[in-house]
Amino acid sequence: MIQKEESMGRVHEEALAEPKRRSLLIEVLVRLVKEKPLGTVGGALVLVFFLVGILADYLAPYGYNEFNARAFLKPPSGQFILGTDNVGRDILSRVIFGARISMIVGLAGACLQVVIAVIMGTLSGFIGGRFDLIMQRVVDGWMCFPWLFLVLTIMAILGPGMFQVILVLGFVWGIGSSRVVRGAVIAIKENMYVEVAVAVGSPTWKILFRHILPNTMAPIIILFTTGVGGMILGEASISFLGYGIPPPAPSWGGMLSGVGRYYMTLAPWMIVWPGLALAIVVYGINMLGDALRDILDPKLRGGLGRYGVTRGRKKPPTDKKGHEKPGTKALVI
Amino acid sequence: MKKANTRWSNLSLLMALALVLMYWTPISQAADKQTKPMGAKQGGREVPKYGGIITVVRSDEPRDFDEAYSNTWTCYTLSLTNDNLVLEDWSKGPSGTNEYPLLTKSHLYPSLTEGLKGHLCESWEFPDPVTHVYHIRKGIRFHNKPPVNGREMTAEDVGYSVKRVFDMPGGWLYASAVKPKSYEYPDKYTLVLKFDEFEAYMIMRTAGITYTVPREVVEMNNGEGLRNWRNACGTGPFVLRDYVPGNAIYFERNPDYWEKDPFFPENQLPYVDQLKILLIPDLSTQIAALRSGKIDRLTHITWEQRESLLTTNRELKETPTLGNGLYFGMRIDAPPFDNVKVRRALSMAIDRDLILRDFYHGFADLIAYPIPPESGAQHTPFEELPDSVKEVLSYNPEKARQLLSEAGYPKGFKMEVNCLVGEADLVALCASMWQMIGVEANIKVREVAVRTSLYYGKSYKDMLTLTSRGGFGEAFLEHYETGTTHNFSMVSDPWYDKRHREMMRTVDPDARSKLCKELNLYILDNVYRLITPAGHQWSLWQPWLKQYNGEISLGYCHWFKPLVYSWVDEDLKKSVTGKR
Amino acid sequence: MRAYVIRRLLLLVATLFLVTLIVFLSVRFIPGDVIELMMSEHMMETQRGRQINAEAIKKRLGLDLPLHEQYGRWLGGVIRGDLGISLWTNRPVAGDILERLPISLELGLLGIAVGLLIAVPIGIYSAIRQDTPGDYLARSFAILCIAVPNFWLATMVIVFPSIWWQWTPPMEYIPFADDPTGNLQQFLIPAVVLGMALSGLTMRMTRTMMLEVLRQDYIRTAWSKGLSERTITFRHAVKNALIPVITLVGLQVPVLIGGAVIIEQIFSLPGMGRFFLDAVRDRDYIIISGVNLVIATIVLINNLLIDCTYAYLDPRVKYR
Repeated sequence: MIQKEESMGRVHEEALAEPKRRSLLIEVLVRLVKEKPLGTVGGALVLVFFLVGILADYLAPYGYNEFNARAFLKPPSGQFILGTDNVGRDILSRVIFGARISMIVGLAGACLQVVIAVIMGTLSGFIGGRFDLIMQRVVDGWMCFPWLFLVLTIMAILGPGMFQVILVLGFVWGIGSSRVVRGAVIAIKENMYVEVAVAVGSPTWKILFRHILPNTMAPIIILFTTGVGGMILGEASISFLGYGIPPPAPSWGGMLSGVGRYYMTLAPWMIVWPGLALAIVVYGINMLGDALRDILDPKLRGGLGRYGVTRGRKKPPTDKKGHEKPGTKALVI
Repeated sequence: MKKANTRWSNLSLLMALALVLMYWTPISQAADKQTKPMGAKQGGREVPKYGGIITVVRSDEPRDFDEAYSNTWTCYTLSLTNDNLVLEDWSKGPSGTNEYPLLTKSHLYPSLTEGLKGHLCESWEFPDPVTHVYHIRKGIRFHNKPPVNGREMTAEDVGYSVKRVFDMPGGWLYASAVKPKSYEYPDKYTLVLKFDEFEAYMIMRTAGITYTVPREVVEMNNGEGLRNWRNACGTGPFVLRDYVPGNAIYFERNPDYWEKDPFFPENQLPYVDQLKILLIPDLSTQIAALRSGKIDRLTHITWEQRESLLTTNRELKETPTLGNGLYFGMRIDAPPFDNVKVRRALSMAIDRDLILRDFYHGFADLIAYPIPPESGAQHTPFEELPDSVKEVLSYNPEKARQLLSEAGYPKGFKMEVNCLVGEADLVALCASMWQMIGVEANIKVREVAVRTSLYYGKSYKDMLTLTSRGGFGEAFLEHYETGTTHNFSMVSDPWYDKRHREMMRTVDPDARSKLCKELNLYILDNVYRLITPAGHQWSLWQPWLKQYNGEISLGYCHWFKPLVYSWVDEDLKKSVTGKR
Repeated sequence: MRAYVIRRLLLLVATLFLVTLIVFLSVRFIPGDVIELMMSEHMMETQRGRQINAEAIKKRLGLDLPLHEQYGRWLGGVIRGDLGISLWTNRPVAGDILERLPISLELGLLGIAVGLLIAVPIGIYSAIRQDTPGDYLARSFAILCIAVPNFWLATMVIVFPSIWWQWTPPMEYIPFADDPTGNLQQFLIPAVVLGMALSGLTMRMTRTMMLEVLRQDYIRTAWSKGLSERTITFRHAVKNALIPVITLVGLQVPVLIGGAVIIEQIFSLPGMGRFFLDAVRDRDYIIISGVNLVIATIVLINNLLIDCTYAYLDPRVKYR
């Protein structure tokens, strides 16, 4: 019993110790590949599209607004691998350039969203008191404006454009999601070890970065991964209502929500490919997020998934010499 | 719980299957089911039957129920509940003798009264060009609803209705250039309108547009009584029964309607018991509703919709209707567009044949603006154009580049193009064509409200698009006169102004046509607006909608009026769709 | 706790005031003037004539008054329950909202119910069978639900049945009171489409919370006591895991009141979302202000209820 507590305590210390950046990243990657095949696949897919987006200029056979005479609405063929759209543009090229746009919108937007949510939520939850009250009323007030109205107003003032879309969606959802982070922070704040750290005299930033934030990893990662998907889909919804990234920019959302819908029966390839690309990217990043959270969430460490503890295994895992690996007391479930 | 999971995974498999099957869409089986029950015929026409429901669709709500506070065409329920003084003659249209297509929203034929028939009036006379005398029919009654309770309609009602639209401050005809000077009622059934001067469009503006409304209803709420849909009252064939905002409008047959079917003079109109207007904003949903038989007709369908509809629903009837094209207006009052060479260059850089062949699949009119082919003598087909105009409408990027450098822009220039969401694809195509001569177009998609402000406020930068179609010169050539509201290209050409005024004052229709033709060529030559081909459109309707042949409107934007003469073959409907 | 609630209610009124003021002002400064829009099809007019018309319309609509007077009048009306008259249709805004709100509510509630029906079982299953093929399949399905944009799914649901079976979902609105079956027939498919989109996030949250709860000591105690998996899952784990999930669902409710615009558009349901979108397109300032007030009130009261529920359910959380 005491042994286990000690080993658990060591583990706890390890988790709170100054992370050695390189080895943590590699450790995470290794664990990802070994234990979470779905997450690895997801990550690989996202990486592929990310690279496609970066190398779009070299990969795309045609320009994204280059029309091809006598080749409007052509089905997939040798010359146009994914077909052409109603203005004679090669769909493969448009999907490739669209990867760039969607990656930027998704990643930048999700980052913005998470940063805003974390800053507002953490400060609000941790400081508490009157500051929290006022902050939450601001958040409440912000959430009162219908999502659509905010989008329309801000786009009307800023004009249409990709960065405006990122700004609008990031801000609108960031402020709304700060409640989730705040809830997690409040729950953590009530824990013993935070009170101990405060009593000991740790500076606020240390408490925030070493105790609070690591334990809010789970909601943050979920927020980010759903945020990427949400941003890309949100851009699609805005395009459907007519306020999206202006043409001829080939955003996947725009291709899905535009005239492609009317060509569903005549030229389904106009929406199948961007839709597939979008679904794959959203799927991939969500799977990756799930896997990362499973690995990184400290609350999940004491149970399944870490330290060789798996369902039904009777023996504790051993290293090459047959000695039990430290801290891996088998918990048979 | 396991069962729920299986069910859901089955559903997801089904969805995946749907994605795959999209490439192969099975042809509908209903199309083979079409039977043609032999209806009784009389003089070559099927004998109409009473009963049934007509269901049509609109994507926009009726703006108002009183045209004085809005305008005629957005208060579209009035075309069913009220009548006009004169109308286009339905019996001379595609369902009758086929002399007139009845496809335009605005009737105007050079001879002023050609194709018109008296609707609420039996006959008319024009003792001189500025005096109109109308003899109103006797025995026409308003709907039997309080406060009117079915009283008889007289010339005074007609005159009152026309007068209030012209005299309503803020109304759409209030600042009209030509207004009746006086309204006289020599007797109970005669209306005399006197004007100050002759104007080519005056009949339609006065007699043909305004609906006759009862005074009592209007005065109910301080002049706004008619704006409440529950008070809707008129002499029309249908009574407004219910309105669910955002969803549907329901009409019931008026049992005391005065009009009879011109081909079956003993039949009182309308034939159907009910008429429904479904308000469906999304085009895909409208098309699906037509496929499933929920609605009876769709107008203004583009070529790709038509192809896809006709493959799955072979029983649908169709007729071509007039389609719209994309036009670019430019700020002619500022560089670089004040130089006619620049405008001609931009026009020559557009490959209209490619647009016609590839974008519209061959279904388009090359020149549909300002005066399209259906305008008869006023229109000039491409082959007969003078060389200078032919050149500007042909594809010639080298000459375009040469003209640009002559005008002082050897490396091209940058410009902004403001357009709507639906126009963005074609604008992008034109933009890539302009890129080939060095002109960079920055496309700015605008909301409708913003575009309207830019259009009327003339506050846009560089270029603004417009999707429209031309018409007769009397209506469409005023858009280039200095200072008129629709002159959003900021054209200011003194010669043109003088000539145009001359044209509008010409009483003889043939002479006027010649002048319109000349002015049309002048505009095209100077590229006061950049034109692209106008795509064809069609109207499709169900086979059980009889005595309907694609008419769009009877007069100025009376959208649903042609349906008054139509009837529904319920047996045919049942055999095609399996339901009534 | 009571003092907290009273304080929140006072702040609620203040927030409402501020929010409506901001919306009232900002909407009048967005480009695109409502008067221009109204006059957009006047014809054969001189510029001078247009000016006269514009002034006359402005006067009739009360838009020529100074802004603070317009806001004051509107506020005075609100206190009496009158949200103003629409600029375009001349109908009372409150009446239109009362007609459309139940439709959005019904759609929203059905959608949330469908979402929960999909999300919770999958989330629980995923958690207790973590990292098995069943888990992967279940999670993949949930992710696919959110990866497909809802307008695409909705369009497919409308277009393909019409091609294959000549069938479309009912399009005429029948109030629930008149004919419950007919009403539900119309709402079923849009609700499923909506629910699928919502279920993604809820499923992830359920799964995460279940995973965390399953690591707790008291669960381990239950295992060691020898309780069956079903008892542990349902009697102990689920209840505690669902607390934040309830919060999440509570947060979804106001979004649905005005947020299912696309579904309403495609299935032609006359709900609040479409109402609001059309009003913004037409720059109908009065409708925009009215809808905004109603939505803001619902959102704020909803948030207050969530916070109170959270405090009630989770004894660790204290409001001072």
